[in-house]
Amino acid sequence: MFDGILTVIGLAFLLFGLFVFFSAVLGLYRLDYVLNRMHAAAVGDALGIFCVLVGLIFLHGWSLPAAKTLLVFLFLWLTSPVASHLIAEMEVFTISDIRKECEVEER
Amino acid sequence: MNKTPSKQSWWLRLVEWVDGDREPKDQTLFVMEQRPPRHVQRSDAEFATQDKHRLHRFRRWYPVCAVLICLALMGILMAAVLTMPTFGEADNPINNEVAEHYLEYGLEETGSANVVTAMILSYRGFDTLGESCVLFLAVAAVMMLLLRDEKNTDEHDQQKQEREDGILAAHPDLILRRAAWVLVPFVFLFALYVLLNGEVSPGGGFSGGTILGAGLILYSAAYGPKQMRVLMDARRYAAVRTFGLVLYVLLYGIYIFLGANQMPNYLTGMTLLIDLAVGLVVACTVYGFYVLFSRGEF
Repeated sequence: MFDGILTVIGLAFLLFGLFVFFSAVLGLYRLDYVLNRMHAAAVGDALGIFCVLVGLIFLHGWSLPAAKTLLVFLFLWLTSPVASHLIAEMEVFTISDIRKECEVEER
Repeated sequence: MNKTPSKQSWWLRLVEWVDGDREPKDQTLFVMEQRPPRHVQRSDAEFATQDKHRLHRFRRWYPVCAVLICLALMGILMAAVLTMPTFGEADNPINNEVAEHYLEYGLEETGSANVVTAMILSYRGFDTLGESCVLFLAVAAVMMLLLRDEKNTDEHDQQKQEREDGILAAHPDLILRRAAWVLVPFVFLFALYVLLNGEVSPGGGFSGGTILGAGLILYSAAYGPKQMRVLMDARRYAAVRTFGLVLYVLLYGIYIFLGANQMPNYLTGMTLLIDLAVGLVVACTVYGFYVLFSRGEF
């Protein structure tokens, strides 16, 4: 019974993660400006990866590989925002007129 | 336009929506700004129609040709699969005495519990030596083409490079530096683990060397070339690169010499050293490509 519940929770997480990845890929394909596309891709990188890996932990049960999966989270959530930050910074520095492409908040 | 919306137009609308050229009519939740269509109208009308016609013809024939080529390729591959022996049969040609020998005597003869490492670094180490030479020569070729020195750099290039370096030095990226400060030690630690543990577990020279090179690239990208020169300048880079290859050649030469003359082999830790040598060569290759393509100097 308990195992069944765990399996169902794990499958739900896994399927939701796949859905998030699907929407991320759709957004990546559909949007046409770098920053918008990055926004779409970041959803998959953060939430999609999280859901898939949590689903795997639930399906597999708590063990050493599951603990390593947590380290994978840590690594991905540490590096992916930094990489996105660098791409966005480069785009903002090199574009000639950013106001043409998106709204800029004035402060 | 169309009185009855046929299936074709529905499909076309979906395709346009996926391409991002068209917004759905029903914008209840997310109201996005309406964009002008991406295809810009040219001023010369005749040229535009000609272009359109050509594009139209291309679009019509491209899928047909693609499908035909794919079908031909599939047919060839299927025919090849039909002639192959059944997967997993005991009397297949791959299940011969060579693989058996590797699996049975691998640990005893090479001192490496990981059979893959035993194969690529001891039994077939000559092949891996060739691969290491290819990597070494690749870096040498890229150096010939891209390395900047006083002979092939004029005043203008030098000033431009100095300006860029000045901009980079004046605006250090704090986020990248912090992340690299946390990550680089762990990356190096993991690289060493993969390198030294390749003898008994998955891993080894190639993967460990790649991780080591990636750590060097991260450090160089975060802290800039000036800081990187403290750790590795051009002379040290050349020394490490050559040392890796020479160590491999020496060790494997001794190995072949001992084996050919029927002498007893006391070098039990040799796979580990060869692993290290390959790792150094691979790390230098990865890092060298990054440095040469990004700046052209160390």
